[in-house]
Parts: sequence; C-alpha cells; structure tokens
Amino acid sequence: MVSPYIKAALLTIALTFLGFFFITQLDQMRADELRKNVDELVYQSEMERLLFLYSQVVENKSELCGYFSSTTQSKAARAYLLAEKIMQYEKSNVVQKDYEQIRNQYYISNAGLYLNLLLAKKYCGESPYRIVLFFYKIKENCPMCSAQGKVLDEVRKKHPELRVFAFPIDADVELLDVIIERYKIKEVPAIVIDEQLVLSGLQDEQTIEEKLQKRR
Amino acid sequence: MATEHARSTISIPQRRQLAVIGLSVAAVVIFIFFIISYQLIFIGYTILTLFIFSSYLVLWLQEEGRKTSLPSLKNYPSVSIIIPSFNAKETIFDCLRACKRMKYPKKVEIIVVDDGSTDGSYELLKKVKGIKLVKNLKNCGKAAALNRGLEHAKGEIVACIDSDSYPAENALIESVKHFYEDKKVASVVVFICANKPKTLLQKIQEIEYLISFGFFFRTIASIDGLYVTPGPTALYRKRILLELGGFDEKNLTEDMEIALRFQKHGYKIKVCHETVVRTDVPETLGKLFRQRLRWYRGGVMNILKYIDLFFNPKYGDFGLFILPTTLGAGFFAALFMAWTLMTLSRNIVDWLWPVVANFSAGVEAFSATLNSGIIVFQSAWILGIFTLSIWAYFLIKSFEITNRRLKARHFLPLLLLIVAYPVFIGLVFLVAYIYELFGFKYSW
Repeated sequence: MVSPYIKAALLTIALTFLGFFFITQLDQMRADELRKNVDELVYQSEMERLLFLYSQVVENKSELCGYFSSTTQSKAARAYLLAEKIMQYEKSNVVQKDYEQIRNQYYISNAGLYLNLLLAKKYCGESPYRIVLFFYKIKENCPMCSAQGKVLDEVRKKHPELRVFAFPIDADVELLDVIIERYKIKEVPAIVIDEQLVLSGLQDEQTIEEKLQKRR
Repeated sequence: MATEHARSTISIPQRRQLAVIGLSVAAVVIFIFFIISYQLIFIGYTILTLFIFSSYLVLWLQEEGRKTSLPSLKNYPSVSIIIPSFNAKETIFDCLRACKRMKYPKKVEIIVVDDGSTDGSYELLKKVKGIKLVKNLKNCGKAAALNRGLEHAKGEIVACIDSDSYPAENALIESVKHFYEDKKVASVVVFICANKPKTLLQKIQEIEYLISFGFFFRTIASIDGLYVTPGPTALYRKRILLELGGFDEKNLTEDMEIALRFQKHGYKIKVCHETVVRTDVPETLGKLFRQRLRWYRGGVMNILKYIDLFFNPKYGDFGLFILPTTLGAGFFAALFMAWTLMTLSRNIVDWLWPVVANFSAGVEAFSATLNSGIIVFQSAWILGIFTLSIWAYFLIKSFEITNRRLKARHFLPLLLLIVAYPVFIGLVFLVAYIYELFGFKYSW
C-alpha cells in the first residue's frame, strides 16, 4: 500500500500546479488590463501627432484646435491612478512581475501627450484647459506620493478643465529627466501648476484649489 | 478549562535555555528571509500547510469507513474518579452531580482532592455524601493534586476530571471500552466541547474545540499519534500511570507531558467520540490569553523535554509527522505573527505619515482610498484558497463526527475563527516564546 504521506505529497503537487495555473492566469489578466490602458494612451498620442501633421499639410488649424479644446481629450489625463495601479499589480503578482516595458511605454506616451498639449497651446493661442504636473517616485516607498496622487485625483474630478500628468523622478527615462530638470524638482511629491508655480510637499485639496484660483 | 492552581514557580534549566537560544537564532534567520522576500516565504509556507492538510485528509479518508463504536464488555473494570479542586466553589458541585449521574455497572469511587482552597469550598465539600475528600494543606498545583488522588484510588482505571467539566451520562461506560482495543492502551480521551457558550469568544472556542477534538483527534488517534490527554477529562490505566511515575508536578501542562511520556514508552492513547464532556471555557480575552499562555509555554517546555522524539523514525508517524506538524507548528505561528505585526506596523506608518505631515491632505487621501475600495488581491492567496477548502472539509466532518449541525448562528464565530483568531493565537505563541526565551518564571 502506498504511504498516505506520498499520496498527500502527490495531492499537494497537483494542487500547487493547479494553483500556479490560476496565478498565471490572474497575472496575465492584469498585464493585459494594463497593456490595454497604456495602448489607449499610445494610440491617442500618435493620433494627436498625426493631427498636427495634417494641420500643417492642409494649413488649417481649426480642426486641431477644436480637438484639443473638446472634452474627449481629457480622457488621457489619467494622472497618477494608472501609475499606482501598475505599482500595486507589480507588488501582488507572483509569476509575471516584469512590467518594465508597460511602464516605460506609459511614461513615454504620457510625456508625449503632455508635449502635444503644450504644442497645441502654442499653436492655438487661448485654450480652455490648464496643465498640472505631478511628480512622484517609484523606486522607494513613498506614502506621501500615494496620498498626493489621490488628493489630486479628487481635485481633477471637480475641475474638468485640468489636465494632470504624473511623472516619476527616478525612472531613468531621458525625456522625463529633461522635464524634471526644467522645473528643478528635487523633492517629491511636487506639483506644478500652469507650467510655473511649483508646490513641493504634500498639499491638501483646499490649498491646491486656492492656488488654482489665484492664478486664474 | 484550567482550574486556577497554586502559585508555585518553575524555572527552566540552563540546558533548555540554550536550546531555546538555538531556536531563536533559527527564527532570526527565517525572519530575515521574510524581509527579503515575504512572498516567497508565504508561498512556501502555504504549500507546506497544503501538504500537512492533505496528509490529514488522506489519513482521514483511510479512517472514515472504520466503525468506531465498540461492543459492550463482559466485565467492566473498577473505576476511580479524581477531581482536583482549587477554589472551585462555583463549579464543583455541578461537576460532582454530573459525575454521580454517570451510568456504570460497578460502583464508582469519587475522590476530590482539595488543593488548599481558600474560598471555603472544603467546608462545603465535607457535607457532600458519597465522595472521598482528601485535603492538601498547601496549594501544590494540579499535577500534585492528581498524584495525591492517585495514592488513594482503588480502581483499575482512573478518570481525571477537572472541577469545571461535566461528563455526559454515558461517558464512563463508553470510554472504558476503548482500553480493550489493545493491551498497550494507557489512556482514553473523550470528545470535549465548550459548556454553554454565551460570549462571542466562547462561541469561537466552541468551534475550535469541535474541530480539534472532533476531526483532528479522531484522525491523529487513528495513527496512534495523540500528544495530549486533555485536562478536562481523560481516563488512565492506573498501573501504567504509576509505572511511569505519575504526573510531572513541575510541568505547566501535565496533560501534554504525560501523553508524550506514554508515547515515548510505546503506550497508546485512544479517543472516544461516542460521548461528550462539557467544560467551561474562558469568557474574556484576558482569561483566554492567560490560559493559552500556560498551554503554549507548557508546549515549548515539553517540546524541549521530548525533543529526541521529533523527527525520530523510531516513533514512526508520531515522531515524523504528528509532533512536527502540531507542536512544531507553534513555532511557525509565532514567526508569522512577528511578521504580520511588522508588515502591519509598516502599513500603519504608511497610512499615518501623510496624516502627520499634512492632516487634511492625509485624511482626504485616506477617505479617497476607502471610497475606491482598492484591495488588490495577492495572486499567492489562490494557494491559500485550497488550504481553506480542505480545512472547511475538516470542519464539516467535525460536525458529522460529533452529531452536530452547522447552523446560521455558527457563521460569525466561524468567520472570526478564520480571520481574527489565528492572529490572537499567533500573538500568544509569540509572547509564550519570548517568555520562554528569557526564562521568565511562571506563576500559575
């Protein structure tokens, strides 16, 4: 007769395999979800670039400026939430821990969207939207960044004209380093309102709203 | 469950302290490992638990079909009941009533050992007819009181019953049969359940007792691996008990010590599920903490006393499987508790830090987190679901074994037993372990 412990070991191995099958599925599902989100950003950034090209070719900027002032564009400004989601998933996954590609793609497309918006501002003159930049870090635990991200998201919900872009300061992406250099960000969390006003340290909703009001 | 006994103190010999220090070093090493990759440890531990539970499952499936109720005996052995009593005014008279109500073909001798009570219970006990009352002038502890009773016992079988435990009518007549399963049977233990649980804590313990004395005792007994003859009620063959020198008077958990001694000398312990003994369980967290602290410190003490049995192939299933997975598991419980506390405190710092830095912003962020309700499911928890499912099967079987029904009222205690209770038990293990490490004296 086979020892009960060998039977138990076989059962354990079978259940572990089954468990890891589900774990892989779950991890994969999460990666797919993130990829889909990031793909949307990439698509949007690419489309905006083509709109610029189109407006140069036909020498008519009304369609371009119309697009940038419409609300559909605001979908892009997912701010910090997607970044937080990527971090959370990375922490809780077992099999698929490598989101580096997705992360980098997210940074680049985010920066692309930001630059498109700056360019549109230059190109179209008056614009209904206002740009807010938010800096955080990813390599160390930063509870303040997480808190600031959430507060900022609450502010964004109340002000549809805000376009919030979140950039990590320690991601080693050249394009981001240039932006960080421009605003001389050393401490995080930091917020930049309208390209000029830099707020460092954790800010509450009221303070952010006051600063937004004052600059109007 | 434990009667409040004397204030005798116990110190741990030097050699044992060294062993504890050795274990602590191992603990620190594993602990560092936790910090490096807790996910890996979590998975490893879960797979280990899965293996242990699978083993119990397989052992159970082998045992399940077996008929357990035994035919009546031609000749019933003579029985003496020993009840140690220390300031047990509140419970002992109910206990005696239950003992007298027990059916048995022969006259049963009842010996009450008053262990130097100061609540006047001795004077009250003197008025009770049909019992033999022995008095200790000084409070010497439960084990000493039992030994004292043993000196007076005339029966072939002695039943040790706590003064706060109430055996059912058929307790004796059913359980003595199990002594004749095998000549090597030194002790028979019975199914013990919580007496009239009122507080939520008692209801949690009710289920805890049900699963440990129901499923686990049955399965462990099927491979002769019982490592404790529970204090509330256990029957012993007097000859063997005396041959091995009676109860260890310097032990915190003499009921575990004697069981391990039986195992060491090749004797067997059987379990009887055809009857029930009700016992009072602690009603408050503080009392439960003190009770468990004594159990687990006693556990550590006896692990060290009988360390040579662990992983010893000479003792078969008992040495290789039961001891490491039951008593040894406490060590891991303590480690996990330390780990949980550490992770938890780090999380709390992470939540509080923003609040300290900027109160209103911190609170806003916190409420935003609550609103979004993001708790990301850790992938590794999937393995835990399997473990929990097997455990749920054990639970259902425990209800079956003890002829009970799982009802809606069990839901909340059950949920707490799964979610909150392990944290408490782990904490007590941790404290017990630290106390033992620093060799704190124990007062009963």
